Amino acid sequence: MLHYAHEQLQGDYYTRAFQAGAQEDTLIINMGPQHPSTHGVLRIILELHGEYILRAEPVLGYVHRMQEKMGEVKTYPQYLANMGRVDYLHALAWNWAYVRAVEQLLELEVPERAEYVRVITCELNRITSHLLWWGAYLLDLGAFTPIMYGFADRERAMDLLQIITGSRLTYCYYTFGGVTADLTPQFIDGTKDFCKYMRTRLPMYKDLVTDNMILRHRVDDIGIISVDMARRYGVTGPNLRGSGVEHDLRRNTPYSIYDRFDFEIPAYEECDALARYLVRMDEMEQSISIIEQAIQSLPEGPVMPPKMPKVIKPPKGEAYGEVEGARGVIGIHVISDGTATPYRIKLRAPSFSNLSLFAEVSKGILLADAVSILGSLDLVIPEIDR
Amino acid sequence: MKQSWVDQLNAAGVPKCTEVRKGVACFCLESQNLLDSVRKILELEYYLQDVSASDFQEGYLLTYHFAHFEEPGQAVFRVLISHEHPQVPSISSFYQGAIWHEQECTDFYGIEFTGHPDLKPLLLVPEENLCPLRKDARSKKSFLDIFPDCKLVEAPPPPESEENAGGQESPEEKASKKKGSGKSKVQKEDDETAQDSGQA
Repeated sequence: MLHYAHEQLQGDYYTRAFQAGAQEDTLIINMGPQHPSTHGVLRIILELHGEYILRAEPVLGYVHRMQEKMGEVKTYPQYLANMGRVDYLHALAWNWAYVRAVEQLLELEVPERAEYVRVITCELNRITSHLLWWGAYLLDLGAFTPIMYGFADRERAMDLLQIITGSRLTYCYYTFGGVTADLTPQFIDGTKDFCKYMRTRLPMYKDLVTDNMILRHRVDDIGIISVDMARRYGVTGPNLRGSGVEHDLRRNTPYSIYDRFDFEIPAYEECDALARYLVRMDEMEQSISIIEQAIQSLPEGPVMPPKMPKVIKPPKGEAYGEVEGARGVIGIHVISDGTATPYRIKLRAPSFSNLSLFAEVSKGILLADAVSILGSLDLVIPEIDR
Repeated sequence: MKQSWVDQLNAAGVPKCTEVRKGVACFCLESQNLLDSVRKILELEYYLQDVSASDFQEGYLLTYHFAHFEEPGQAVFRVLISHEHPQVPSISSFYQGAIWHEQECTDFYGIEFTGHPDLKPLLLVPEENLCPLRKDARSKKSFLDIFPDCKLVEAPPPPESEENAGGQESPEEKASKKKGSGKSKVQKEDDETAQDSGQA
């Protein structure tokens, strides 16, 4: 019995490997895999000296589902349903990246109205994603009220998306060549109201939370990510724009019809958690602006091309579908061998690259700040593990 | 505008590329030239998008995607390595973000990245060596068939001698890999010596 207990104390493979490099008089603890501030099953092994982190190592794979293998055994349309499950918070961006890759292979023209529908729904989904991040991040930092506000507002947008997509979280709405269902008048009116409503809510959030001194102390000058570090780790999205780089695929390589809208790319030079926070708060405003412009200029017409092949069999070759997700550049690399099943699908998840710098950025900081940094990176664990 | 960034890459000494699609430049590299080209592309301030592997008849194809924060365009590095010696230098000394990507490739295909700081399993269980994305002989397709615009820079040995090559790597072969020139010829001779030693 004692022997058994001793075995248990040895820890698993990762703990033993981590312990081998430990210094004297330090404490090794596991943060996660069921830690509330990781919002999923992420585990981080930490070596602490007092309250300071000497070394940190994220351990992944707790929600690994081998999405890339599934891509090789399912047909092209069957795999569409997987995309909403990779990142459940910005599912439509993953939908989009995949259909873009396959549309490139098939050389499909997407009808104009379908592009508008995609922009409206994807931006609405981005707002829901940022709202959840906002509430959850502040919950990590000890503020309980914001998540109630965030969830209440997010609920409205999710009700709207439910009207046209039929699901609340793991959407499977875009399809090769267009979208599966047209917008309804109920959705359009509801979205107009939602945009107006959010314009009154965002200033309130600013008064309530953003200017709060306690929050500022928790996020100001915490978790500095330099541009060089971002480049070496492949950090993209709001995390990169928090380091002063105005890189956004919607502007840099405008896909779909993003070049028709007038919007700004918020960027802050400070490189810290506060900068990343402010970028996301500003982005919600820009998304509202894009939705309003898109609804105003929404053209009439079909949402699917007139002629679609019965079986999707892209010609031999490869395609890389890229879109700007709520967490950064989503890339899907599809290699086709000319059959109805992809030969290889590689998913580039932005959170995967964004988390990989944690070991470097967390050296020598306080444990409480690690929670603040993890939250400011806006991680979605199923996307990292895939 | 589009031409300029490809020219820039060529001028910086990344070997001659082909622009396969609009905005995508593809570079087929030999594994010994990989680090040199990666260093150059880092100097040009490209960021690493991802590293992935795929399984073909000719060997494992490693694909490195790079893009730029300011400029448009995507640079793709392709390295083909043989099934018998799935070894490629790790680019993690230049791009630390590649550490996890390379570990993932090792999980899925069993590829060894030389010079990687800690090549332990990342996403799969550490106790087993599963390599789930390796394809069986029947479902493997030809790399040249799918990418006709790419030429093989590192010619793999013909399929008959591949089976005879066996698992162990001889020191001569390692040396020949570094030399680089006349690759396919050297490889073939090595295979013959491996065969001879096996018979002896």
